[in-house]
Amino acid sequence: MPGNAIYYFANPRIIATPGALAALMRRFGLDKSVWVQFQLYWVNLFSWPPNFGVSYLYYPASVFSVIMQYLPWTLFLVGVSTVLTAIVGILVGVLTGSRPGSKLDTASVSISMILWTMPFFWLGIILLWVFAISLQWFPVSGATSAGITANSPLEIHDAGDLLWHAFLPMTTLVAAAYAGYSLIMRNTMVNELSQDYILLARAKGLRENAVLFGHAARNAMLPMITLIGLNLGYVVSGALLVEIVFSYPGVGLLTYRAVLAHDYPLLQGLFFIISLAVIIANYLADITYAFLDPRIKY
Amino acid sequence: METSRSPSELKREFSLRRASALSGILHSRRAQVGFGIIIVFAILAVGAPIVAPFSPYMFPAPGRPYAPPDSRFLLGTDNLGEDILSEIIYGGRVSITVGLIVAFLSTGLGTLIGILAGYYMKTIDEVLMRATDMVLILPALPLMIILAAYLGPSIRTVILVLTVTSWPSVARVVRSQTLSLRERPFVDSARVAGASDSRIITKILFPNLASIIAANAVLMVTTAVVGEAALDFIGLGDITVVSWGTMLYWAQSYALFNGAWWWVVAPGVCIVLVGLAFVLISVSIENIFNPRLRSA
Repeated sequence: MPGNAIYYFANPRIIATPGALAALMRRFGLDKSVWVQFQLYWVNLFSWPPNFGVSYLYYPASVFSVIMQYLPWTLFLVGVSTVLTAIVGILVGVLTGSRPGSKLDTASVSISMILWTMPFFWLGIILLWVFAISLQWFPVSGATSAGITANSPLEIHDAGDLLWHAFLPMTTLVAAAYAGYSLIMRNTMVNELSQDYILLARAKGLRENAVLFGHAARNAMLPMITLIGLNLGYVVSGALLVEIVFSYPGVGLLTYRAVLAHDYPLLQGLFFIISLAVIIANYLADITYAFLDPRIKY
Repeated sequence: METSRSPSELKREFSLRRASALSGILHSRRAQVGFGIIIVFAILAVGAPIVAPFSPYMFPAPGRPYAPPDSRFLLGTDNLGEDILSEIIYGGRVSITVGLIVAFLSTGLGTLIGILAGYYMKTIDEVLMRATDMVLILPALPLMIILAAYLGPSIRTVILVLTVTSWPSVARVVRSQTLSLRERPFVDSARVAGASDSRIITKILFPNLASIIAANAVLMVTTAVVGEAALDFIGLGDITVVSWGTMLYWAQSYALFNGAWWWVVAPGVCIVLVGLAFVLISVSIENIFNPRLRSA
């Protein structure tokens, strides 16, 4: 760590006397040896509420309480956009996968490739500039209009206002994460459609839609569950950048502020909670998979 | 069948096959577009002092602030009046170099770990793959941010952080390929003939893995260029050095509300173009070496 961490707390507050600095060192536990600090870290981690220490930036609020204020907004963004992306990606995948090599397929794959390489945050900046600054259809920043305060999206009764603010960030997330879903769904569809049971379904005289959606898509959708779990880390990373661009009050914006303020306790806590959330989501995806596919046993 | 041919015949056939694979890549339309884009950017990057109309660090700056694109400043100017086109050309040097270095390092590390895990199996596999899974499941950007915050902003940090977070996917792919390769008869015959582990790994497994490693390495350049831009954008790179990411970092604060759209569009388009070029090449490498994909 460059310099002494306590200066990042003391300098902006113009605290310089040796006595005050020593008191701060004691307050943050930085006077103890690294080994003792590490032991304390583990003890504090398993207490309830988990104690990640005190934020430098939002002193004297605890790191945990600060994160809990911002986390619901990110869960809202990531959750809703993941569901939307999966739906759009699956539909496009079914359509293009049933006609591989067609014009529609080639166009869709090309668009997916471009979206896949496009940095989340750049797409966000462009959307912000076109729709919020130039056309002024959507707000430039924030999650709610001035005057509406809430601790989480669930507390807001004005759903229109909530969606109006979330529209651009969510569009960015959906556009950027869509490529993975549509491409993989397309490839598994191509695979499934060459199987014997599809031939049987067609031989029975089923309508094409019944073959595509009732038979092929249902089986091709299984890998999507795993993909949702795996993609989550990617979407969370994207959400962090998108929140910075749109000043959306989630953990991404909080991380950004913590980086700028060298708020190390807050950064540590953020990293722990974000990772935990992603790992739990992956675990849930694995369990769901086993539940849906009886061939899988853990 | 194979045994009836002399070693020199086999050698010639292999080199022919390799040559045809290479020409196959060069003849695919996708790869041609990809190589075309890369050659243009490579010329711009290498010849920057000659090609660029100005220096991106000129003081006093050559133009007035926020000048829209015109004949003198083809891509306009930034908040200081520096020429955006020159910044793009010089910035490409940093972005592409970082991309290539990270791709090389992370593919190397991932390949090493993947081959070792796949070849030795059992305990070594368990240990290496659990470590891989751990890094793989952690959300990459928060991990990068926390590492970069502790290491301090610099280009070295960006390279290190991107490498640390991007090797696991290579390791996974290489391991699964190694697992299936090591059961093939030619690996057994080498072992029976008395080849050492290191010889089997370097002379037999590695050449057979080369195509999939190459496809991954090329794809990794895209991941690294985009990742570098993201880190620079947050301000975790060296913000005094001009790169496509740091251009967006400064543009984020100054460009939009001054209507300087050219300042935002230019670096983003370059990132997408370079990224796309490497994706196209990677896809065509995979198509050549994995014929099953060709029909799909």
